[in-house]
Amino acid sequence: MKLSPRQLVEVALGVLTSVGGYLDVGAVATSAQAGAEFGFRHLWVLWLGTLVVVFLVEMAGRFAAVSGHPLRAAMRERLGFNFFVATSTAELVVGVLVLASEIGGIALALQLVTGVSYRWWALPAGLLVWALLWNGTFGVLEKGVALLGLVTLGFVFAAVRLHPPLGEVARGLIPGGGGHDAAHYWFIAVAILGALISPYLFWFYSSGAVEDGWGEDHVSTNRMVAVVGMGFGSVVAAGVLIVAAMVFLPRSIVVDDYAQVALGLTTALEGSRGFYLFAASLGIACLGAALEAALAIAYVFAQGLGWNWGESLRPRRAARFTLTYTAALLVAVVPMTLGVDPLALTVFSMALTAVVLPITIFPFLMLMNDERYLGRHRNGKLSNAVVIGVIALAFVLALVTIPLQLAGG
Amino acid sequence: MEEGCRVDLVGEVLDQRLLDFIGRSMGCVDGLVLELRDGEPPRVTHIETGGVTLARRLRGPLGRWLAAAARRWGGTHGEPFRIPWSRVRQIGIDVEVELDADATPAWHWEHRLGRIVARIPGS
Repeated sequence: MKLSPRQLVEVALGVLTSVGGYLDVGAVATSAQAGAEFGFRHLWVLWLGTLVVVFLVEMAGRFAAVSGHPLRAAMRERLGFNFFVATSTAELVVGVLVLASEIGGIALALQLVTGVSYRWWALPAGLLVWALLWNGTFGVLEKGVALLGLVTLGFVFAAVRLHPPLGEVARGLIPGGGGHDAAHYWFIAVAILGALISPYLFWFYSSGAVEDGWGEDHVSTNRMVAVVGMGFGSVVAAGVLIVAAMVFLPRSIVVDDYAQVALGLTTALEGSRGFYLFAASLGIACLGAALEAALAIAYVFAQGLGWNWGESLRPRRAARFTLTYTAALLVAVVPMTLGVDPLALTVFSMALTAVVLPITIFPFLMLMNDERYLGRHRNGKLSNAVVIGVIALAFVLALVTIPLQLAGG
Repeated sequence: MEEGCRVDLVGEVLDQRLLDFIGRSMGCVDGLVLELRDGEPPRVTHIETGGVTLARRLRGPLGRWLAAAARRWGGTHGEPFRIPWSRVRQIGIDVEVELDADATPAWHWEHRLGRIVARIPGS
């Protein structure tokens, strides 16, 4: 495939953006927990989840590029209003929990740096997200978050410098069980899948493509961005997991508290650099994810109800759209301010995401096979099979492990 | 609309995005009004859009609540907002009508909320 210079720039920017979009509080928290408790044995879940994300992001971009149509509007057109209400309600609940987790992540990063409790930082963090959405345009937010997101690459360098045993890392890439405490092992596997396959990412990505006015000529650049960008993101998540496995597992530190995580890194990574690396990565990844998650909630409603929408419009030109993300942020700030444990909320929301995946992803898949929207660009058999297989696996695992986890405390 | 073309009402019209005469989003086709005539096939007379129509499509408490809200606060005092079929310009992946969204109840809430938003700095 030959790319023009302009397309190369687009691919590069897209890759940066997807690194920013890929890593969120869920990916950091679940990868860190996995590494601390089970060493490298969850690495295969990361590549499996990434594979699906690559397919789904590629689809979301292709749909926008070929049809020029907002994805959620199309879902309502094909499946009707009652279905729209049912899925959007479920997504709204999960979406606000995820948003609360991301705000918790920002607030915790600020707590680590300042020493002031995250409960006090939740509202300012929510305000920061809101102000960026209110004043920024899509392009500025996308590229800004993407560049800042490069900080998270620090985890990859840290992972390499810790010299992990390559044999064990390779064994972790092969699917397998957890040995002791199987229920908890599989619960974390579900949470990782839920954290990686976040529906908000697809709604955000496709809406952005519609806003940017993509055309059919974007189909090939979109494919490269999806593969390289998401692949790159998964390397960062693997970096977090490996660092956790090298630093926490031998010291039997359980990741149930971010402050402990940061302190653990301080000892392992030569003083304060590890500490600030962790705080900055956490804060920036969560800021990017919070922007995307808040926008995605507004996109779902605006597109399904036929409102005028767009992150690049002035707020007064799309009042219902902007007030939707404002309301979502207001609600999402509450749990953190009340002192809900951010890490517990994160892992719980990610597992819950895995439960609602089928009702959002399967209709999406139906559209991707619809000739009316996509013509000759509709899905092939392979992408359908991969997505259906992994989503079904995540759903079944979620149904089995969440009750076990809740029962086991 | 051209005479004599076939349209799949549920598949191609219902729930499609509704665009005004300059392509602005003014809601969705939330309902269709058919007129039953003696000895002749039924005829589509109107498109409906807005909360009143949506409330009727939802069963249970959510529908009742939405209907009450639309009666109380909506721009049409509880009546569905109807667009005559003769104003439909095109049916494609969206439904285009020859109306100005600004001048219809479809943007009632957009205008009311817009006035609130306009008071916030940076809007």
